[in-house]
Amino acid sequence: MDRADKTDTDEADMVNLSIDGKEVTVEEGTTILKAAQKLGIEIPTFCWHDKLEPVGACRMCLVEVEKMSKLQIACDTVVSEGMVVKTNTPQVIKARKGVLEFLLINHPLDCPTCDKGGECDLQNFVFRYGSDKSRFVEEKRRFIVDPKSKLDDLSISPQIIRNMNRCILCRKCVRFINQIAGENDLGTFRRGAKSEINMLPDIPVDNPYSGNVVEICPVGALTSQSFRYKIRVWQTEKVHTICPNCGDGCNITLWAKDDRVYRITSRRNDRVDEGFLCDKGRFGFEFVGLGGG
Amino acid sequence: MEKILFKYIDVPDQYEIDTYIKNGGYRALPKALKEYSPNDLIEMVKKSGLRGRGGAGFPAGLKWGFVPKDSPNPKFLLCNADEGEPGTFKDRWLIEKDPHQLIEGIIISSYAIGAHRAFIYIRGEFAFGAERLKNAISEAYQKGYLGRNILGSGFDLDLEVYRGGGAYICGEETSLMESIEGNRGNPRLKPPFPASVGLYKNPTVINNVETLSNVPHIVLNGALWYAKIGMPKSTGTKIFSLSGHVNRPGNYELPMGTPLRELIYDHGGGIKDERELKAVIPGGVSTPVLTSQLVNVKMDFESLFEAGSLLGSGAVIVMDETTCMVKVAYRLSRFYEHESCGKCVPCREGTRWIRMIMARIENGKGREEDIDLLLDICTNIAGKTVCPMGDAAVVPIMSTIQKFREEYEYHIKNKKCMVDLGTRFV
Ligand SMILES: Cc1cc2nc3c(=O)[nH]c(=O)nc-3n(C[C@H](O)[C@H](O)[C@H](O)COP(=O)(O)O)c2cc1C
Ligand code: SF4
Repeated sequence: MDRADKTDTDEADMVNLSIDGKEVTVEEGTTILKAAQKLGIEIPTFCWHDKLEPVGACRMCLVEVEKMSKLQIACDTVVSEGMVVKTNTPQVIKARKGVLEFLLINHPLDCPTCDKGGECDLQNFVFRYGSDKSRFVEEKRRFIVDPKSKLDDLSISPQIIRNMNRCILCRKCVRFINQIAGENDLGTFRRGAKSEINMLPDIPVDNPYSGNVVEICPVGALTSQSFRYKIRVWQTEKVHTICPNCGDGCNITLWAKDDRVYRITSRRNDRVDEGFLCDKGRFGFEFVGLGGG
Repeated sequence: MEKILFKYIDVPDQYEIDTYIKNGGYRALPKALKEYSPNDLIEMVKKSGLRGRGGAGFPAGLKWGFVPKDSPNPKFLLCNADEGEPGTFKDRWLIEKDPHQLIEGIIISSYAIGAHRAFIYIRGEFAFGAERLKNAISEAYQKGYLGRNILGSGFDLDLEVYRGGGAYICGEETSLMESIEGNRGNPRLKPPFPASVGLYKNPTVINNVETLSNVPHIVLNGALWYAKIGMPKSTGTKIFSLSGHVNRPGNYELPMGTPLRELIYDHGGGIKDERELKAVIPGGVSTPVLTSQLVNVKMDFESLFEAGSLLGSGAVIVMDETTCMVKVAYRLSRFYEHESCGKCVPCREGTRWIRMIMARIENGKGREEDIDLLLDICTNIAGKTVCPMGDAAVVPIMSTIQKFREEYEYHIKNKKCMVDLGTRFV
């Protein structure tokens, strides 16, 4: 993902730009998003992920760039010398509000029973940038998996449950499986507003890294069987530790309460684990706290 | 004026290679290979002023010139035969009736950009056209116009037909490449542009069927000959696909800059049943509607832009006084919802929302605030999407509200159309 394709011995060319009036110098080939992060300026994103190729699909990171007539996506626009970026103008704020409104009109708003509540990007960004009124008076779209039970949930693997109604189609899950895990277990099916993320027909997701999609999902579209409906995240205690399953020693966080572990997530350490865990490390914690001692 | 692309369109066997050759075909190819270097050809096309006929009107020679000459990677030429823009049916004729004209254009263009592989991406519904092309391509191979060492020049080219699955979005150049590569037809982010990173990440030129069909004529008759036809900045002829409430719908090849009035009344035989003209969509449904006052506008890129619309693909849709513009906008909102690829949020969610509101208005359940809501949703889509399809999707809504707002208001208040639809299904 190093756009400039620099080797260690190359001296990187530096570029000066300003974001919201603050000057910053970054390496040539850096995106606006990365430059803003360097300055501590938050540009909200849904589909962007550090380790995945940018797709620019969510349009949440649109910013104003001087001399450009349209808003530009911060996640895939490379900086240039003297660039003047603004992340907080009325136009940018309107665009963000627009994206959030589009994402919410068909969203079930079932936060009270959603496992992602409290750590959901959609929830957090609406809280920060969204509107508290809805202009949508039509019937919401609903993906019904089983016409009899009218359930929204679909098991796409023994551990992973998909709820398409909460999905914002950032496709981080599909891209992770494809670009990092190197498989094709997940895909995007159909088109337009009917698009959905799914496993291949009748072939459940089956690869040793599949659990990462639950963690990567910015909303509650992909949740894990073992954590579902057990506890609210904010009622747990976080314990930072190392995965004991193999010699790799991936850095992990245990989410626990009263001596019981509810889930394990990655605690990204790029020198060890790149922020991803294998399913054994992520889901293999049932033995913890079971008697003995 | 003499036709260029349609000169032999009515000759029944023109699709056969012998007839094509008898009528002067495959004469530009040896000339291009023997007398000109690739660079000469790029300069020639630049000088001719030929602009893309797929919708955006980008200068063809300039696009060819963007292909890096020193790249060690293979280069590709793609012919866009997806012809998805509603109202457009010109490429179909060029393919079915004179496929060798297109193939000759593709060979010359490939030579100009240094491509040794070319694809014609044809929409799935054109089964007959795809057959015609495949037969024509094998004829061309047999005669040595395709394959190794074409006409002893040392230039090699393989040409294949690739059939799409019938998605509008696969006419967008980067989705088309994804589709050929076997992926989901979704647009890529630009930059990088196809000229440097295109098909299989290699330098690629993509041109419309009509654009490429012009190339042999430019080589045979010269850039200046071509540049003199039409308008100074919109040179050559244009095939207009005329449809709607006219007496003689069809494809008409006319010089760029021909007045709309002449197209509708002289060539199209005027409005059906002697009704009054009400509105015209001049360049396919992604271009803003014009009211009848603008019937004298010249049909070229600049004139239509000045008139507040676009030449687009040259699909002229004529609507008479019995047309309800709300119904037109509703119908088109269904098209865009159906064809949105779903990659980016504003287009995916916005086109569906717009269609739902349009359906309510059309069915007598509109609310006063819906018009402004529609306009605001359009603003939240336009200019904020991955590909130009988002901009296109809002065009019918915004332009009909802008020019026929009273019809929306009437619809909402009276729960029916303002116009008398007559007895005919519109
Ligand atoms: C949604 C969408 C659909 C398109 N469909 C077509 C099409 O069916 N045929 C076509 O030639 N160009 C189509 N285009 C334009 C192509 O992206 C591209 O600009 C064109 O093929 C370039 O050829 P030209 O320069 O010869 O016009 C479409 C563009 C968009 C955004
Ligand atoms: S604008 Fe529409 S068609 Fe284009 S990428 Fe976005 S969703 Fe797909």
